[in-house]
Amino acid sequence: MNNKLETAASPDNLRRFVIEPVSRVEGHGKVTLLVDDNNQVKQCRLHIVEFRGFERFIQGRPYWEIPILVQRLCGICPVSHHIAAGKAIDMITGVTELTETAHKLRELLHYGQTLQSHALHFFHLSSPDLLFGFESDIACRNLVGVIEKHPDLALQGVKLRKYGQEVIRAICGKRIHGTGCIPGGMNKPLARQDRLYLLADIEQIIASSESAVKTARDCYLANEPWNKNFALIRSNYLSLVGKNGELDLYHGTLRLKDASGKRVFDRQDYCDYQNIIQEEVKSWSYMKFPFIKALGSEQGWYRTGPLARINNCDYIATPRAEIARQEFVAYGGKEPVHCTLAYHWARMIELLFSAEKIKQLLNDAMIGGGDLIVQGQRQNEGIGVIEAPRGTLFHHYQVGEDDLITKANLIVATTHNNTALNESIRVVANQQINGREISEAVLNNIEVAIRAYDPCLSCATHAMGKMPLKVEMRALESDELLSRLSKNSDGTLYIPM
Amino acid sequence: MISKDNRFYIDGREIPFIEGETVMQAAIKANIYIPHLCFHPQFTPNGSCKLCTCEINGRKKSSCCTQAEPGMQVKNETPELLMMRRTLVQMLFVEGNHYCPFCERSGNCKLQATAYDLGVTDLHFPHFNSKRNVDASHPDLMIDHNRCIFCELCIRASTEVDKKDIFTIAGRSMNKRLAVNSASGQLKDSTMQVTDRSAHICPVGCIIIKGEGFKTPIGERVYDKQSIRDVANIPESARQEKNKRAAEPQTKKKLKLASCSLAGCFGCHMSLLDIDERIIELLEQVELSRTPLNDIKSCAPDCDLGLIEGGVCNTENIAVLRNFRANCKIIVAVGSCAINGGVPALRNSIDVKDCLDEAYLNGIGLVNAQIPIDKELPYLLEKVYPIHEVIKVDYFLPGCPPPADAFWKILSDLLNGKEPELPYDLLHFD
Repeated sequence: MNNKLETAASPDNLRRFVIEPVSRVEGHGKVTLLVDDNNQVKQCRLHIVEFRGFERFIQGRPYWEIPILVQRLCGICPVSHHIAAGKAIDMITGVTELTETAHKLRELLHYGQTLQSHALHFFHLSSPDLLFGFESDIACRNLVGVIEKHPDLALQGVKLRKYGQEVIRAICGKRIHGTGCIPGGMNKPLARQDRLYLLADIEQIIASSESAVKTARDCYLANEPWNKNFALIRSNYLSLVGKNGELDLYHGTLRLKDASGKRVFDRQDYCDYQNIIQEEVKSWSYMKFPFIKALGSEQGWYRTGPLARINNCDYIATPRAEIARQEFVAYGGKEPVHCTLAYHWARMIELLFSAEKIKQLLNDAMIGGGDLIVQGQRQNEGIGVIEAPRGTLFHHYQVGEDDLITKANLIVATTHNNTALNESIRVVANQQINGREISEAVLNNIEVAIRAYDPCLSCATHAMGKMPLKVEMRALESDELLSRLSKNSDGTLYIPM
Repeated sequence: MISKDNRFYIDGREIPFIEGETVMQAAIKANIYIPHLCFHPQFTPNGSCKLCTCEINGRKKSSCCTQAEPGMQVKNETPELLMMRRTLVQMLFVEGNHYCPFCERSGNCKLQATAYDLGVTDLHFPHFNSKRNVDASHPDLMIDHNRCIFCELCIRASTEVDKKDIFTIAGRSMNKRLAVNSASGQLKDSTMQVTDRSAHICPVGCIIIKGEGFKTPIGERVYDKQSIRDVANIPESARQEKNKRAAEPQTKKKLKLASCSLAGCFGCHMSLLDIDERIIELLEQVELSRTPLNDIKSCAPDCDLGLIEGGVCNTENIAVLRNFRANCKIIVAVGSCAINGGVPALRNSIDVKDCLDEAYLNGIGLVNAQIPIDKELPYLLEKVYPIHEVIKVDYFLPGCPPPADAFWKILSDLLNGKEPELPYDLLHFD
């Protein structure tokens, strides 16, 4: 690890720069850099600056309310929290297996949300960097620019996201923060007209997804040597995999691969997560730093999300996504693909996988069934884990005799990537910033590295909710604020007095 | 028998009545809706919620407790009464802890439905942040005191129908509470049963049946499709229009729009993107200043419109909010969190240190447990505040999140220089 950049040896007499807020990501983050007189970065940190306190305030609420309540952690992937909490309360209700229809409805819901979330991230948020360049004009480097310069691509993104949102609406009654998961199952069947409506467009969606994989791959390969090294870090990879080692986002067992691709563990029951993962708290961020207990905090940090999942799985059970996966794996050679920017490529492979899964599920006769709820023997504890769009998501609840929550623990996808995010921006600081005059465009390199992870900073701080980025300079000895760099609304930099 | 003389007038309409009937009873028979929460035809009128207040022969009186008299002149739908009823509903919302987004009665709640009917989009008053508890001791029932509106329907149902006398109101002012008649004060030690009438009478999400929550899908709940006055089979009468502001002249120049999320989840911004293909049309008509969608980090000084999602939970939120107010001609509070603090405001009834301890000291599997403190982290506020408690807000767009079409309607109205208004089907609190 680049530990030396986490904390400057002597922070005095360094100029402080702040990127605040980090934009085109979900939530609010802030990056601080301490830079010496030769423009060498001495300290670089990603801070999460807001605290919400979910773990505490859901104590005392009835357990069936939790999936509805905790989905409000995040507006981009509420379904992830809804389903993970749903799985946990199934366990509390004593239900280990849902009816086939309820299970498939949950899967359909989850793949619908993965489709919309991945589409949003790639097309609406990240594509401007990839299409126009990391240091391109701020006025153009956003969705408006994409609509102007690449209208077809922009429309493709809007339609993909819309389709995923419509899948969610059909099942949950609303696109964002609906209801669906109740203890032991789902609250309504999929209406026939919704099924037909979704089937009507699915071929087009699969075709668009396939072309999105191509766009992401081509963007990456077009400037391969540069992209490969940008924010490059070697890491472990954690994800769920399905029964046979296939890519599965709804259910599975935990697998960890090390940087060489060797399996450190496999087929671990996620209910045992407390023996596998620990979280370190650092004074300068509300986001915790998880690591694998057996490996320790120095060696045991890891990455989750699309890159981890595509690196970790043995195969994908849908034909087109499997072809895309094979090409991706071939690119990595013997090792997992470590390139941070390859997250985008992996993410689009999952977009295609989600589209193909949606088609399979919509064509499954059981999806239209009406048998939705199972009863069981009440338990005092429930753990629900899924692969959310951004990575492995853990929800853990304990319940009293009176049905009220007594303890909650959530480890969300972005939190797993906390060390990796910090490591990546430190690499960028070394690669792209050292020795250069700091400007808005130069700082965007840091944000590009952060965006690759598609961090959900609201989620990341289930405990918290906001994360902005900005830059300031401080005297090394006295820590006195020397100067501060801010951006005008037009993107020009100025030093506030 | 209704004699020829037994007639009175509501908003000029002649209403027959039987001697002994109240104004409310006669109005219901005549299919006239007078807003109410504590009134139920099965029980003795209580006159406590005051929502049914009408102007009766020039005096303001509860129509549920006033006997009809021949020739009486009753005014029901006047701008003044509408304002008063809105205020009463707003006061009920801030007195308790009513968070529709995760309440299992949402969509079936009379308080919410009445607010929709009255066109309530904001809560106006500072939130009380009352500390109230949940009694989940009973195996089949639960009382969430956070949501009690003291309508006393459960008291009357228990006394008049169940003959049990389980409930009463105890305490005064901020200590006022629904008390249970049992040695321990807990519901499990009372004679309450799930089959009791009093278990099914609560108009809000206070007394609820365990295991029933969220079983009714969105779209099929009572007030999803019809307003409370439709449910009462009363034809919708012309609603009083809000006092209209002078419409600003329509300009051809693009509106400059800024937006940000404070203590929120970004769901409102996502719902704005849910206008789908119309985003292209929108971007032709607006110019974006600071938003989460681009890299502009501060709000331009000449913005026409600022959309604020999320509540105020730390010092940095306050700074951003004030900056938006200083730079935007119109500020719209978007979504539950901006309007009443939303889900993050759940921490308001808990000491903030408790929340921090739970997350960073008592959490499962923590190493180096400590509460983060650093000059880069802004100060947390003791409570999460709605934005109208910090700055002046021009419009409120409720919902968790507001539907995409509601964004579209409000933005279209503003772009066309019209006073923004939400039709019933776009007004949601959940």
